[in-house]
Amino acid sequence: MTVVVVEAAGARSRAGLWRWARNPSAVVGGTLVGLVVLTALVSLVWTPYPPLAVDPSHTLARPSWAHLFGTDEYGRDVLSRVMAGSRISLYAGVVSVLVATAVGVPAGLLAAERGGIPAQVVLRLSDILYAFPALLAAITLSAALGASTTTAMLAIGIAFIPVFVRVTRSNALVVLGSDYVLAARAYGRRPLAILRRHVLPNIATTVIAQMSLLFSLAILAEAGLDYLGLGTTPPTASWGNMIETGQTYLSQDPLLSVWPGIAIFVAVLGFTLLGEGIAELRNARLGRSA
Amino acid sequence: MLTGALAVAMVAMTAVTAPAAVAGASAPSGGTLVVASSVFPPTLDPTANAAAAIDEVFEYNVYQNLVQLDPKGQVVPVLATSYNVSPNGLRYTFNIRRGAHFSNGDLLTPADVVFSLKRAANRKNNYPYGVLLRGMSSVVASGGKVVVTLKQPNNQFLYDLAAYSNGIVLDPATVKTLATKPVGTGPYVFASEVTNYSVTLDRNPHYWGKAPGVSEVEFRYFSNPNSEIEALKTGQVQVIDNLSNPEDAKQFHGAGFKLINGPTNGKIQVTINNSAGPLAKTKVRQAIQYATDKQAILQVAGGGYGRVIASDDVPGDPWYMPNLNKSYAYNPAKAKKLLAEAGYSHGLSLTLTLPPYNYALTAGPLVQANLDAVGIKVKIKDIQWPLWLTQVFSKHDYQLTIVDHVEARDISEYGDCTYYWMYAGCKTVGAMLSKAQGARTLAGEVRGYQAIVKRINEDAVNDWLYNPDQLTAAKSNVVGLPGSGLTESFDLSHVSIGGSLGPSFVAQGYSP
Amino acid sequence: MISYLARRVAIVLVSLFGASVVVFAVLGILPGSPAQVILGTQATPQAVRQLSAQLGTNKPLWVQYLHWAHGLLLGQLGRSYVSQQPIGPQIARALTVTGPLVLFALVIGALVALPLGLGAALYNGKVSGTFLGALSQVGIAVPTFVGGILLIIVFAVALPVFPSSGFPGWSQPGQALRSLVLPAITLGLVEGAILSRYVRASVLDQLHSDYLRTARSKGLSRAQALWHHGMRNAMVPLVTVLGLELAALIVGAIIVENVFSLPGVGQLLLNAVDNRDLLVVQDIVILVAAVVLVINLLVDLSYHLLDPRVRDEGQR
Repeated sequence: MTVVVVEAAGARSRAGLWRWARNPSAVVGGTLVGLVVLTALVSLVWTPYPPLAVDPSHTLARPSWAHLFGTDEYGRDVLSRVMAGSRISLYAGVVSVLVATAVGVPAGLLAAERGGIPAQVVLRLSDILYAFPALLAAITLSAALGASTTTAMLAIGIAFIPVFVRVTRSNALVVLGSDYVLAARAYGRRPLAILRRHVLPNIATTVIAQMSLLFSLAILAEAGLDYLGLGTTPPTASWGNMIETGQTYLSQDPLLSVWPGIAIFVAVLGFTLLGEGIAELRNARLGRSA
Repeated sequence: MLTGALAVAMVAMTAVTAPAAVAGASAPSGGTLVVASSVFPPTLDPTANAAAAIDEVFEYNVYQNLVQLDPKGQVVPVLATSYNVSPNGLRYTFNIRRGAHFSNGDLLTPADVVFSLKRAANRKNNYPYGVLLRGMSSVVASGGKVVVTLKQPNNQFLYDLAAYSNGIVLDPATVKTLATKPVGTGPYVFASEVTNYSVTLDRNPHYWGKAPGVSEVEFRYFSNPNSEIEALKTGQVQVIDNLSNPEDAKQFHGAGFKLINGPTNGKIQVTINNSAGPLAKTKVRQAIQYATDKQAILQVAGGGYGRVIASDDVPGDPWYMPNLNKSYAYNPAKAKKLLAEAGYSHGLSLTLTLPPYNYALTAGPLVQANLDAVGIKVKIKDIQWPLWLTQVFSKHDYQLTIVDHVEARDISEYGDCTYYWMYAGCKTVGAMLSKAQGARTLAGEVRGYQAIVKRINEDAVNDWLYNPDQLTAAKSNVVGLPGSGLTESFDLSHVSIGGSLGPSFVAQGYSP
Repeated sequence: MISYLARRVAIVLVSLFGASVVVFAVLGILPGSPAQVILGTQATPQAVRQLSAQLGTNKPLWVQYLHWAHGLLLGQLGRSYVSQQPIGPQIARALTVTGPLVLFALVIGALVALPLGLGAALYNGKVSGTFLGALSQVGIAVPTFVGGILLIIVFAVALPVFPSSGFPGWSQPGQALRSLVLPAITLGLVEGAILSRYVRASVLDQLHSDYLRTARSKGLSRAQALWHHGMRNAMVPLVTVLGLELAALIVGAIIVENVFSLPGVGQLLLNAVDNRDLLVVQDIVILVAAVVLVINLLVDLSYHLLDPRVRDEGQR
């Protein structure tokens, strides 16, 4: 009955791996993401120095063997702080994208499946949220709740909800209009079962690709908020607030903002490429051009 | 909030007279002086908002008081040509300057002075410092004089009148438009503003005194300390009012620049909520004093510019005791011992709430590390300033915080039982305060205040860290800038580009 | 068509209403009263209460909301609690910085995006095409504040060609333009990188279209065929993307203004947040939201006019 192609599990994953390996976006993106995730994991158990340990006698030191990236205005080791900062970025990315997915996907499914008034309500609410770009939402929210990583993640997550509503709804509409779903309905399948058995598996790749792309935007947005002093606040190390304080010492030590800048660049590039890779692979499977 | 019987003692015998208009900077060159600063004045009206950024630009430059502070912190007559105080300390008689005009051409009259002081003292007008004038029982003009009568003797009255915006003299015809068109008697007149970017002042054509050496002053605002530094180096500005990062000061020694540093009235301190928990115990607070390495904190957070303090006691105070500030020298072992005696041999956990200011964000982690070393685990919480005002200052919902108490001679706050550090000895100090304020001799007043300074030091009410310097960086040819941060105003009355400064102004603390 | 238009406009109005309620509700729970900030640490509780009453911030929230919304409907943005000045002119003045900055950045963005995207599409599948594509990825991954700082290091500190910050005002047009160069490049490069992805996709679509294949079979080169036949078609979606990116630019300007100390809308907003100047915050946020919604509407309408299939779907 199901038209979704179900291959033998083993064969499918081997073929999948092969396709992955031949897609440059996926390979480069995957590697960079792996690097960032690995750094974050390592930083949980080991950093060259404790990221918060101050050393008043070695402030603003240039890179050396003792401090590969140098030290900041309190004599804290910059490499350790960049490593620790990866946790904040990943954490913020995961939570904000999960918030957006957890609200946006079910809402999008509801709008697609029900139509009528529920769809109108969902779409109008999504329109309202759409009017607040992530940064604007975050400025408003952090004004109300005070600056913190949580506020920033929440604001970014909320601002991303409409994206998932739209992507989910439009893709789900296509699947719901297909012959096999009509047939399933004719057989008396319940809407929830149809959504679970037919719709979700078919839109999953698109949603995942979108999640990866938004993950990179979330990292950028969170760093931007930290930079503006509206997100993670010192002394906790985050790439954005490191750049902010680094900028005040720009004339004395320009590298202070460059290191976390490179870190953001690597993470964002990684997740963007990974997202594009997933999308390309999906399109290739569906026989569409990139 | 008080002033020396210094002034009173002198005044009671001989009336103080303003120095005859001595030649200021020789050969005023004219031209525009651009001063970099960081916080744009939220409004132009100093009588409606407490923000220091307003006073920085407008006090003494656009508005003047009867008496003002010179950069040494001494009270000098300005719109009063002279004044005297009755022997019982209740009646102050000011001789009002004749022939002085407001920048709109109106003549300054004693009635204007009476209007201004009454307006400041009136509770209906939300003067930020109006409370300092509520001790007046009457203000009347008679002839060319204004006579102020106090309800009870107050040695600080002249200082309070000189130091803050409550003492500025306004033209009654202009009070409706203070927020858009400031009009005062000062050497400059407000010309224009660009929100969040600049405020421009021009030479006041009606100024009664000697015209300043520059024809225009522009205050320009930078959201980033680094931009300020670059602007000074590339000549876009000639002065940085106060360097945000003391670290940056080093690069302005010599080589076409100069660095002017002098004390402020600030007390950068770890304020301790004395009301509850372990912090209610004197030994715990004393342990915190011994545990903080104030010298190292001054070095990192203040760039070494300033001095370590151990009470509410700074060089601008007539009763300053430099030796007292050597108490509570860094001694982690002693801190641990005191903690053990107080019953915390296994340590304790505290929260440190930080407002979003550079000195606090810098000193915070250092204090955290210091306290950690003696077994006090500190969790840092950053909050925005409005939240700080509500949570910490109004609701006392905090354990430790770091803040710069910038007001001069504010030791009277230790006698206020509702003040946010909730000091248990407030009543005793309150009684000591009345005694000091009512003292009839300078020596008696100083003794009275020194007793309070020692008392709060022994009780370790707060962990006072250091008294920061004002750090002004400028092109080396800018002459006549204020040499300290003892006034709210960035006093540019005697500034010029090139030329030299008369010795009488150097003696008052203006930088040659 | 008219009923469609009416429906779309009605939706925008409903969304704006919703947005205003959201903004107000969020800021309504804001701790820290404007009066407390204005009066500072010398204030007595009575003085704070008295000023709150004068400002009207002690009234019930719904009364304050109605007052604000009523003013908005009449085109009155109100008076700032802190500066006591009308807010409309303040925003208008800030727009004389942010507006030119955004337009300047949009032009730079387009100048970057067209060659980059075209090249990436024409050389698709070749090394040079991949390189151009990668270049745009790099542009997207550099946060604006990092890009801005790098530009300051190079063009203001190392080679003092442009000022590192500030804005002298349009009374000195030359200086004003000069001080907008680095901020506009910062903002424009990122926008250009994003736009180039759309250009590439759009041109690729055209290259694969039937009529272009026909044109090529007549002996035209790919570039010639594209120039004569495909370009206009490729531009249609681009114009709409440009419109949507305009909204992104307005928001991006908030960060860039902070990097370069420009007295624009972003600085006004951030300073207002710091001073608890709530009316200013509400006004700016609702205005930006309105701009975003209106641009969205215009984009939808342009689709509607240009593509009959969309029209059918819209009326269904």
